Order: sequence, then C-alpha cells, then structure tokens
Amino acid sequence: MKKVLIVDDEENIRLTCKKILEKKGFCVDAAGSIKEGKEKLLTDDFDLVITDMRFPGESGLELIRFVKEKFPEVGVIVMTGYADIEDAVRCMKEGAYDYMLKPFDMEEFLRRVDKFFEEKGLKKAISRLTDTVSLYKIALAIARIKPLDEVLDVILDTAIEIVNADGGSIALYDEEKDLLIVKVARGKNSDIAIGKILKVGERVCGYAALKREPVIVHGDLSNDPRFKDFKAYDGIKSGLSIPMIIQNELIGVLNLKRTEKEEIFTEDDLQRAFVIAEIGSLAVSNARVFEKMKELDELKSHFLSTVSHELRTPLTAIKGAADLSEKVKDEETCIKLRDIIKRNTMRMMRLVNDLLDFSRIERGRFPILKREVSVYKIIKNSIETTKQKAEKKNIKIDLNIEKDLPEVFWDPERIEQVLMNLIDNAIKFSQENTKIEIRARRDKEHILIDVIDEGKGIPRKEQKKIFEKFYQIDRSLTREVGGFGLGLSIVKKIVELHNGEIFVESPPEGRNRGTKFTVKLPIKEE
Amino acid sequence: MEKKQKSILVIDDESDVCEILEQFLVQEGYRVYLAFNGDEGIKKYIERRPDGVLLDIALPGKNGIEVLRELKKIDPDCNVIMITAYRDAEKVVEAFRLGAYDCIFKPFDFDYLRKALMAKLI
Repeated sequence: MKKVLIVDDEENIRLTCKKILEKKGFCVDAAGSIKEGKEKLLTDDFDLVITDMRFPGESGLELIRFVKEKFPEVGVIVMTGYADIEDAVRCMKEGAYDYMLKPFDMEEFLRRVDKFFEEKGLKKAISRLTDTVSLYKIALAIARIKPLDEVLDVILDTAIEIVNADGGSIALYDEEKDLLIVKVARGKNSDIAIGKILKVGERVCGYAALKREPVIVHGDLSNDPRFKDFKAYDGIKSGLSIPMIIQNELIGVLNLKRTEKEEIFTEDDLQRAFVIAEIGSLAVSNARVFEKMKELDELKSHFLSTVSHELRTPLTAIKGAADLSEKVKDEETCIKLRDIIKRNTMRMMRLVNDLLDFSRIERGRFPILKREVSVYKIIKNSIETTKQKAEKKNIKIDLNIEKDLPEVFWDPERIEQVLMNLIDNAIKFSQENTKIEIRARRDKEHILIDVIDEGKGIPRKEQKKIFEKFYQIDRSLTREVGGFGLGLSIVKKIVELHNGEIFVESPPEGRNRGTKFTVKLPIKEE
Repeated sequence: MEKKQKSILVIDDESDVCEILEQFLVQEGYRVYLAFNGDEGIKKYIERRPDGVLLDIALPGKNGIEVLRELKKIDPDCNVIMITAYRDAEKVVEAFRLGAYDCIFKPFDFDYLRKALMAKLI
C-alpha cells in the first residue's frame, strides 16, 4: 500500500487532498502542524509527504530537513500558495522531490504524485538489479575459491559499492585469542586501519561481534547509550557494522562507513549489506577450508618423501652389511655387520609398525585389548626398552612412582607404546648428561603419568599442533632425530581410546626449560 | 714402486651408514676418515686433504649442498660424490652444478660406487 502524509494548517486543503488520493487507492494520513507531522512520521511508515511551506511561526523547510535526515527514502512534495523562485530552490536543495503551486488542478496534482511513485518503483527495480549483479560477483568469487585475502577484497569492495559507502573494513575473528583483527580496509585512513586489533565488545565493530547483531550508527555517538564512552573517529557520518556468522560461529565483522557523503545509511542499506555479509561469511569459510586443504596436501607430500627417506636409511645399512659380509673373513667384522643388520631391522620394524598403526587409526580399526595390569610394570617395561638409548647419551632416568597404585584396566602393550614414545622423544630432544623424570600418581579415579625432560622445550604456539599427524616442529629437525612425525598423533589416539587425556607443558611449572608430558588415564573403564 | 694409499672422507650423520661405507672402502684399499656433520666434515677436509669425499645431501644443520659449496671454496679441485636417499632431482642437479662429480643413491650399489671412485682417484 502506498502511504502518503499530508501536512497543512488549512483543514479543507487537508480534507480535499485526502479524498482525491484515497479515491485513487492511496492510504492517506494528515497533520495540521509540523510538530504533528513529525510525530506521525516517527510512529508510522510513509512513502511520501506532501507539505505546505508556510505555517504559523515555522517554515516547511524544517519538515523537509527532518524527513531527509531521518528517512531519506521518503519523498517530499511541497505545495505553496506563495510562489517564489528562491523558496523553490531552497526546497529542492533540501531534497524535496517536487514543488507545486496552490491552487492546483486535481489532474496535475495526481499526475505529480503518480510520477513520484513511478520513479520510486523504477529506482527500486534498478537497485534490485544492482544488488543481483553484486551478489553474482561475490558468488563467482566463492566459486573460484581464491586465497583468503582476495576473497576479503571482493566482499568489501562489493559491499561498499552496493550500499554506496565511501569506505569500510573487514575484521576477522581470531578464535584462539578472542580478538578481532582488521584484514582489509578502504577509504579514509584505511592504511592505518589494517592490522588494527579490537577486543570483542570494543567500539562499534566489537559491539556487533559481541551481540552478534548488525549495528547502524550515525554521527556523534555520545547520545547513543551503547557507545557513549567513545567518539566516532575520523569523522564517520554514518556507519554499519555487521557480524559475519556461519553455523553459529563468528567469522568476523563487515564495517561500512560514509565519511564524505551527506546521506546516512538506511535500514535498506543495512539489509543489503547483511546479505553481502552472509554470502561473505560463506566465502571466507570456503577460503579457509581451501587453505587448510592446501596445507594438508603439502604435509602429505612432505610425509611421503619422509617415509621414503626414513625407510631407505636402515635399508641402506642392512643391504650394505649383507653385501659386505660376503667377503668378510674375520670374526670381529662379521659381528659388527650382524649388529648393524639387527639394529637396523629393528629400526625399520618400528617405522613399519608406526605406519601400520597410522593406517589403522585412519580406517578406524585400531584394536585395544584391555585387561587388568600393574602401572608399575608398564612403566618399568617401557623404560627397559629405551634404556640403551638413554645410556648412550648418558641420560639418567629418575623414577618416582607412588606406592600402592591400584591395578588398572588398560591395554598394556598400547600404553607401553605411549610411554616408550614419550620417553623416546624425551631422549631425542635432550642434551647429553641430563635427566629425565618419570612420575606416576593417583588422582581420584585416574592415574597421572608425567614424563619430564630438560631439553630445549616446545614453543607455545607449537604445543597445540604437536599432536597433529605428520607434524614435526622443525622440519630440519626431522633429519636430526628421524621418524615420521606420526608418534604423538598415535600416542594421542591410544590415550583417547582409553578415555584418557594427554597434556603438554613447556617449560613445566617452576622450571625455566624442558617439557612435561602428562598422560591421564581412568583406572577402570567408565 | 708401490702406489700411495688413497684416502676418502665420508660425511654422513647416520653412524651405521658411515660404518658400512667405512667397511667397504677399507676392503677396497682406501684409508677412511669419518665425519657426522657438515662442520666436522669441513674441518677434517682441511686437516687431512683426502683424495675424495662422500657427502650426504641431507645433513642436520649445514646441509650437504652448503658443505659442498664450502669445500669447493677451500679446494676447487676436491673430488666429491654426493649420497642421497631422496629421489627428487632438484638437489642432485644443484650438486652437479656446484661441482660434485657423481652421486650414489641409498641403498648403495657398491659396484657403481667402486667404478665412480676409480674414475677419479686412480
């Protein structure tokens, strides 16, 4: 329904206009003063205001300004009994749509009103078309899956274009740090905006992220109870901040601003920007998946090359020793070669077992055979197998096991494997002549086992990743210590299959170096 | 007149691989020096001036390519055979460009290694 408000202090003019328009199917309301007109505008939605110019003690210009500031989409047609070209210019400058003289002929009056609605419809159609084209552009960017930076560029540029803003930014949400980081920016001061870090809840952008709802702000923010604590900076006249959310997860915030343009953002602009933000969230999440896939792919090919290298090394020793043994006569060399073969066969076996475990885990067929066992025995066994290596580097293994630990219900071979792996790692990353401490204690229904070394430790940012498959902190280290980078991912899986947990602390509390791994396992099945 | 015994420096971080090479080279009549990393290898080269070097590409710390570059700076005429377990060509090509004269793959083909050594050292 097309809604029109007539504002005139002469009652018969109000009634005449009302009657003519209602006959043509318009929904019409009338007001006798500027004050009443403003009130009606604030409480009801109108498409068009038809107003007189001269009111007792007031000017219709005041109403035009009010309409254009609060409701820029609403049209204003001025009708006046005192034609005056300067007056007309002032009205049009303030944003009036048309200006006509009283008394007017009814035909002419209707024609001008119709024209307004016709143009408005056309405008809407055009803007819808523009929206469609912009959405198409974003959709294309998604389909092509470009790197994240480029996706952000496309989203921001399209959003700016679609709501006719003169600047804006996208801040992405860093879940780990619980912070928003500005990744792309356009318009005034955009160069300093990039890289800016905001807390969730800070400023308008942070507010939108916190509340997870779009925010629209105009000019001076001191009147707005939500933001009264800070001023709008760099002269933003009007701003939109829309949270980008996908499947209930906050991705970031799309910010749009008008600093130069006089017009303020409307609800309509917000709706359009909202759609861009929605599609944009999808694009960002896609780009992230794509980047993760690329990373995995690289890890995979690095892994394959490591596997081939790691297997080839013991193979070289075995084959070499076998070839050489043909010509060797003396006993001593024979024993030496045989030891090499034995040692390297074991090494290869361990590697092949790791690969096998890994493939079983991947297929979800990792057998766990739990039975009643003693914690002490498991720990003793795992130390026994790693003892030789520790002795070689003159590393002392300190054992600290609480007395009277109960029998546990675990898969002893698998838990031995876990501890062997942790101790083995501790030895690998320890300097010569240092100490490794192994502790075991009961904590209610759980047993906690610590393996603590005095090595150089694991940087905080690496600590989360070390349990990921294929991961090795420093790839050059691969060469130094060997292995596939599967050990800890297998360890974690075994612990999880026992309904347990594994933690890492580096450096351990109260120390300035070294690493502590803690395995927490339930005594009995839950 | 008896020929002077030729010497070979082996640079590889895998002690068992070093030992295998040492056994083989001794059987072949060479005198052998061992080094388990790049810096140690360079130091031993300067001290001993061996007739040939067997150099692993994948070394911890300074890798084989960097070691080769330094050896060539010290002695442009040094005879270096690279050792590698990787099958990608990139590093091998680079080693040849830097002046390595041959390359052997793990696991070793001792006949190939014997001929490669004889080609330069005898």
